[in-house]
Amino acid sequence: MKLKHIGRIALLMALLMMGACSAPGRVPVPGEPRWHAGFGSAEIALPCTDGPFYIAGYHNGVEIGGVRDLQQVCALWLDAGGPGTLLLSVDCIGLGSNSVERIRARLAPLLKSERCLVHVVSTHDHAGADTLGLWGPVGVDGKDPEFMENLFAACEEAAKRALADRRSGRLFRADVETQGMLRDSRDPQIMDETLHMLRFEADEGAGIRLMSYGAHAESLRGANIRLSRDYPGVLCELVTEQTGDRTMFLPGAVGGLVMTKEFVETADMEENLLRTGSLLAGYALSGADWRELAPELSDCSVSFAVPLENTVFLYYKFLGILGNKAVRGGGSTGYSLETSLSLLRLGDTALLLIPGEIFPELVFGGGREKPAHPEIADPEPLADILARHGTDDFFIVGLADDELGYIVPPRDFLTDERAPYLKAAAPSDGSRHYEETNSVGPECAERIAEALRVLLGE
Amino acid sequence: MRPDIRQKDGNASARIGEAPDGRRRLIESAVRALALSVLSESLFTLISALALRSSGALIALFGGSAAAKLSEPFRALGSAMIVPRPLLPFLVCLLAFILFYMISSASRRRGSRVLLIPGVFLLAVLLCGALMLTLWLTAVNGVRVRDVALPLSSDIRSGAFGTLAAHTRGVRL
Repeated sequence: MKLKHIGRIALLMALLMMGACSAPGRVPVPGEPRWHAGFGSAEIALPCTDGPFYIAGYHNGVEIGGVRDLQQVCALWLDAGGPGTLLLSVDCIGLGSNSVERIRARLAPLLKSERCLVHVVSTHDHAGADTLGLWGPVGVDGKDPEFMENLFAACEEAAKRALADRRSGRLFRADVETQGMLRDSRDPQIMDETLHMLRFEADEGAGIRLMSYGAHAESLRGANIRLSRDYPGVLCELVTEQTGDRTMFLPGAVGGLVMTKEFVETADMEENLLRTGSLLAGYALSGADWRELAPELSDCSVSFAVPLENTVFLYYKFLGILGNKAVRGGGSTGYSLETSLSLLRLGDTALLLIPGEIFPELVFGGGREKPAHPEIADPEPLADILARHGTDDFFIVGLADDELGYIVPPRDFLTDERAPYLKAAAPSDGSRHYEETNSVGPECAERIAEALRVLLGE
Repeated sequence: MRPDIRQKDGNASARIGEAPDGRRRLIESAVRALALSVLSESLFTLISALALRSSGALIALFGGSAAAKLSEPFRALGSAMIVPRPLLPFLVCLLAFILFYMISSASRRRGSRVLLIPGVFLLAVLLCGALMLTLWLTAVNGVRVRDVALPLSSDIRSGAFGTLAAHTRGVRL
């Protein structure tokens, strides 16, 4: 009788334990690999100097006329018991590889006892200070040295806070399809309408959320002169308010040129910003189907060179405005830009970190019905390359560790005959070719596909 | 007592001593040419760096609003990273001085200064060439002057900069 009772109790306990293991707040088994994450953020202080202090993204020589909200740096540490990754998300238009190297150098003493890679991603904020130098008066560096120094200091501070915040927990992944949020200013109308998310659920304390969306951060539009984080800031604030989780934003495949639509009838772009942010926050909080990621992390990078064809970029490099690393050889200018591509694997998902604004059709395939060069083949879509290597779940992180400008499909790459890279080509079919003037050249897409194949060991 | 050959045959002794003197002169000339080449090349490097650094101010000297506008971007070169590429200009300098020595020694042998006139002219041309070459090959912020000057002149010739007004409307990245 007693034995029967004991047997029942043991069975009950076993069932309870099994139930506990599958429940969200399960007790970790000692020695089992776990996710460790830490979050930190810091505002980028405004310079004390009088300026001139240029706003980036649209027009040359436009000075900042006020502050809506300060640009920030968010840092996320991730590891699964082994080497880690430090992801920095900087609210700015973009950072050249030279600035990324300076940030890494500043973080080196902080990370000397860590085995990790550092990735610096720009949110592509079109309401921030010029961090590339392209928006001063034509030919004049638009970067403010003191602002850049403050940006580097904010990176250091955010990283320090993320390292101090490290705790163990579980990592989840979800996608939410958005609808009617985006517009593509150039055919083909291929966009990534998915809001990609990661959620870290800490054993103790607040969680962390990472959100990635493939749209230019420019809901305040071109007439704005107030400094702001644009919609990523509103999105992050709203999600933090609702969940208590700390949040960071990363841009996706924004080339093309993909942006969020205007959601207001009036010219009140503040209202448009709030509406865009709250719509996206609604999607982020819409009860996504979260799945847990196994605690496995691998992060690998490959360096490669892209032939520099854009003579305007060459002039800017000569004048010391652009800081991308140039090496002799390749391209009609005689120079190539050295850059890198990284693949961060978290469990069975992956983040593909691309050094620029890639057109979504280069990721997912597809193209214009009547391209500029039907005789040329576009490179194999990145999604197909990843799928061939067993990675079906991934998302693009654009403007990572460098900013090469637009990455345009070579099949539809067209420049003006008389003034290539100075003036957009205007063919008789009325197709748009503005993005070419702000690209490194037609070979960039193929070099990225090649680099991914190298990264995957092909 | 053995007779002193040098006393007996003065001409023979001069002939014996001529070879080492000629070699010494040749070595001395080569060292002098090398030293002058190094000196000239250093001077050219300095001149080209100064010219590049002050190009903004130099353009502004032309006066007018166009020159003032054009000079603005070049003012940034005042703090640019300038790296000269001295090997080729140095070789031109060396060649110039060797030619000059050959011409001047030929002039001395003939006892005439006539040959020196084209020699000086040749030297001046070659040194100017070396100076231009130094400037041409100097890298500014990692890009050689020649690699910018060639497409820039082509853009100017083709009237591409006429479209710059459109470009000034903005960079939409």
